[in-house]
Amino acid sequence: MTTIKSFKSPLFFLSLILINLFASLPFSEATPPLTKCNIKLDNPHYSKSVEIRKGFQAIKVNARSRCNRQMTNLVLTVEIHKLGFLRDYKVASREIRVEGPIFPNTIIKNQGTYVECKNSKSSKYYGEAYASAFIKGERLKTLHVLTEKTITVNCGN
Amino acid sequence: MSSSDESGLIADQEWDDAYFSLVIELRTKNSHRYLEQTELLLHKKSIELELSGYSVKYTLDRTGCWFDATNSDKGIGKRSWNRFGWGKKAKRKALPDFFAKTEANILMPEEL
Repeated sequence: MTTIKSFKSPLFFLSLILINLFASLPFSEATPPLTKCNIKLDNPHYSKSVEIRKGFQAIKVNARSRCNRQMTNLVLTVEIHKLGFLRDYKVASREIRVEGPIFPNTIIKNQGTYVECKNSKSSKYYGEAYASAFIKGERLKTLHVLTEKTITVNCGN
Repeated sequence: MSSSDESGLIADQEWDDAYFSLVIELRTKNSHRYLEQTELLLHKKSIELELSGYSVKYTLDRTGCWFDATNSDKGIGKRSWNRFGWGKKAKRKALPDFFAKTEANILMPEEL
């Protein structure tokens, strides 16, 4: 069985976020972004707690969102996808909505996204996360970010 | 690994421990209700209920089930979906655990 020995290392730091005002301006490459917002997305990993406490295995993906500006109406979504023969399948998703306000640099976590292993069939999983929020009255969306790794585990779903 | 990474890892582990303990507790405590809810949901395709200040709605689709919970007073909402498979049998088997898991999502302290 393949195991992920160090699921949080390295953390996949993806800082692409806000479609801001500068995106549409010429010479935008010379202009620093208005905000520093990011989503940290851990690689898919076996949850030790599930294995110990529930007696079966599950694959879990955690995400954290942080922004240096005050936000309202944050929606942070985490999805787990399984690689399929013809296409990939979404097997789990979890969304947290906070109407706010959320103060600058507050960390919002979405850490309850998991999928149970129903059998020991070898399968490949990856995670995806995205968010949207209002900043200064404007609705901004992140890019969809993927986990750095797609893991192969004996965990069929 | 930096100390902040380590403390984050410990906090995540503690959250996981508390969360999955709660899932097990709910599954045991409410097993009868979850079985009733399962049959009702399979029959009606969508059910609504109130839980700890949240308006909760479960909706079946072709391959899984949506959970949507809103607490207007707190201004917080939670939504999740899990794939169970196409058949009724697979859904019937998976739904009690899904009810426990989603109720734990509501009852756990906010992830802020």
